[in-house]
Amino acid sequence: MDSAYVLQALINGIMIGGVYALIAVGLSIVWGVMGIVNFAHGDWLMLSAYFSWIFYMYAGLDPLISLPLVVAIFILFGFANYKFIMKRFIDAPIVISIVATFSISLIMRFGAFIIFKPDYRLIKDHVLEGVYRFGEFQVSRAKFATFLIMIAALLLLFSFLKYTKTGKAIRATAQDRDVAKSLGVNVDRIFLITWGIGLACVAVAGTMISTFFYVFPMMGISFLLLAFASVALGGFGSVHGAVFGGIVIGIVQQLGGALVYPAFKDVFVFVIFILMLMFKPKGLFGKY
Amino acid sequence: MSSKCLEIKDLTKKFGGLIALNKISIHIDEAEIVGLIGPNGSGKTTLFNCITGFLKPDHGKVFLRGKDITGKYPYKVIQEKVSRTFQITRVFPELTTMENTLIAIDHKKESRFRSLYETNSKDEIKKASKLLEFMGISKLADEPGGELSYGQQKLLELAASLMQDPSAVLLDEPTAGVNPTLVNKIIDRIRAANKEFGTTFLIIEHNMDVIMDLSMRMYALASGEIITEGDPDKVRNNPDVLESYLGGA
Amino acid sequence: MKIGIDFFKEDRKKIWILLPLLALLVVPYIVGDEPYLLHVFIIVFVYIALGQSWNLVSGYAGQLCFATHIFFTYGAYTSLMLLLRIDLTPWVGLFVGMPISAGIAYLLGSRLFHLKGRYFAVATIAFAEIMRLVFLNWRFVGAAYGLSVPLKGPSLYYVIWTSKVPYFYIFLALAIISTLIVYVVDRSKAGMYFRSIKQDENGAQHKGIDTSYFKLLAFMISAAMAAAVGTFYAQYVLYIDPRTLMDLLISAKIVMIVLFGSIGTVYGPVLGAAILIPLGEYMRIKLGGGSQGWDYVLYGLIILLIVYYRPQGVYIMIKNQIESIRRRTKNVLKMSRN
Repeated sequence: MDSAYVLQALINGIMIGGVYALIAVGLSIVWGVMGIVNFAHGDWLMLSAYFSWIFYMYAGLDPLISLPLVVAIFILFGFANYKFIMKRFIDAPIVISIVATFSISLIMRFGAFIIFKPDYRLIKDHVLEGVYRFGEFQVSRAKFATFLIMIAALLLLFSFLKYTKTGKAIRATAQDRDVAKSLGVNVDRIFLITWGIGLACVAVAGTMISTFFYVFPMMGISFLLLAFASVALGGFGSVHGAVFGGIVIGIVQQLGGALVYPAFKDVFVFVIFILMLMFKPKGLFGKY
Repeated sequence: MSSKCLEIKDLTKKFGGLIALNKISIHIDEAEIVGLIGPNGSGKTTLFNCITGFLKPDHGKVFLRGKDITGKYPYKVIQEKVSRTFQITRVFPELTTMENTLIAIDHKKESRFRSLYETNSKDEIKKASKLLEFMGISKLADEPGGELSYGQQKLLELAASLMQDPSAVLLDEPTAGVNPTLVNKIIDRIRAANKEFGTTFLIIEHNMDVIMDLSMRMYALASGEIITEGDPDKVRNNPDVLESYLGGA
Repeated sequence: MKIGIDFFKEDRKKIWILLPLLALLVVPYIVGDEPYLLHVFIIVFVYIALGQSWNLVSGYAGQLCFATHIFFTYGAYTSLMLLLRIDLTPWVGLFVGMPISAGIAYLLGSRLFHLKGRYFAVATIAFAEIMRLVFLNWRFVGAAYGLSVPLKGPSLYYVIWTSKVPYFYIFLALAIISTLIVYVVDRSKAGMYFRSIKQDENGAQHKGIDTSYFKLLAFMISAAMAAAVGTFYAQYVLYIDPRTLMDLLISAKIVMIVLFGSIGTVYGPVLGAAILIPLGEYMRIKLGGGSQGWDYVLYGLIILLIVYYRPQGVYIMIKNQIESIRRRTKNVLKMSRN
């Protein structure tokens, strides 16, 4: 086992970590602002990946081009999901909100199963074929582009949160809903927007994932669990933490799989997850 | 010479750089009603939290009838027969009034495992009924705690606090937020409990009329320190005490 | 000191329970050895027992656990391993699996119970997934290949029969026993303590209740109950493997069934399982055949509807309906008298 092998795994880890980071941010922002653990988060990812695939298969659109379209669609889906379903579950007991999002997850997962059949789909022959090579290392173009887009999306989101009025309102609501309300923030509207953001994150991730990964109905779960681990590591309620968590989880997963035992790559992630919860439930940067 | 029921010696509690309690030494004798006053932020509730073990004091000791109970877990302190109420009522909303009272029995001598199949004994139920009657809320016995009015909840908490024949009862603003008629009832019941059962009370209160009426002796707290103690009238009119309420922290 | 089984004191209500029970006892004779129908009953009983196990720790004590299926699996694997390795009858293996499960619950609970609601729930999911991955790769317990029950039947010692009828009665007994346990706890002091912990744990501590002890107690009993079901389930399905048994969907199904029925009540899980399991089977036959997608989609829809409109569950919904009808008729009678 030479250092090149390890470094390659490290690079892969960082690349995929970017994806986990964006997914985790989507999960974390909804958790932090609205207190809802969205168990369907991974399945929205799955759905967006399917949309990307459908646009490719039937409209010949490369995922890079259909990306804005998919994101727009999913923001709308997010608004609808909040307005007609999730709104009811704000402040509901945890069991209830978990079961609510879980049942949506079931409907989506098995709905996809029925419509698309369990076949693994793959997008071939697109703009991002091929690999970049530098020295002994290689990165697939698709993963590299994905990584860049993840970074771009995250930067966009952070700027939005930091500099815009709505972004500040979102952060205020996350810190203290009542104070935000008394300052004139329309909390319902903030929730709507936050939910949309959550889904937008997943839409970006899902679309880009479809450029290098199989699309199949059950793909949501693994990403969801990795997102949970990332959020736990980085701290619930902290979006910066979620990014950190995502990258670390990506590295741990790839390195663990490369160095120890491929089938166990997720075990390391879960062990870290549970250790974090046991000893540092606030995560490394968390607020709860 | 009455024996000391609750004795606090040099109790100190810091939060980072902030000294919330600074070498607090107070005592309450058996069957006394002692008042604790002070402006907001003076450390009254922090003191209660340190006594019940919810917060661990940095220095000092808490003695209950001579026994050192400093820093024990809250449930253990309560089991040593210290009852405590909170500023905002803390009734179990989905338990009935009767259950809210029964749940405050003396848990020390209870077999935890056997409680899985045992129900409350007839004596326990009788005692709870008597206490609810004593507080005048018997007819609410089967109502869920969450549906009682605020004042009724305060009475319920008072009844519950007496369930285990406590050595000391810590009341945190027992009349706060309660309408005037009920305030008088609460005062009346506290005094009645003290007279009939010999219950020892340490009461935090903001309502001067109430605490002047009830206390046999008073402590005044400001910025984490006891600034005076003694006869209620004397304490209340003490210039330092008045200053602490009007002036800065 | 009293034992809270005053079952026969409220005579009239108990008819609703005794009659169906008696009916159940004779079902195999009425139905004949109709394997599929008996199978549906058995699965209902399994989910009643697992549901009650979950109900105890999550419904009553309020600790949201998503790892019930793991304790269920521990029971199955322990007794089957003992059977395969030292030819030990599952009747004894049962009493090895239960304490092991309870022990692991103790270890897990003592490390995780300081976590609040969502976090504890998510931690149990992580635990469940770790276990699944471990078992999938652990050669000692057969890894992904699983374990098969030796076909040494029909035999009481080996708990294996060709007919489903004896299994019917075993699982019926498990369903009854688990419901009885919840019944006793429900009316006991501990039941009240569990509920107080669920509503306000800190408040309960300030009433002198050792909340850590009670949470662990609930968790351990729940784990032992699930393990017991697992032992017999292995003997019923004759083959166990981590992929089928340690699927998070099983815990999800348990949660949904109990929530549908009414969480935190004695009869909620019974009602939930009795309605949803046959419904699921019916939907699977009618709409799916091979691809078992439809039953889960409809499950999801039903649960979403219940949680949206009647989160308190079907049992409480029905109870409230009967209450309000009774009150209305009382008022009508009162008015007609005046």
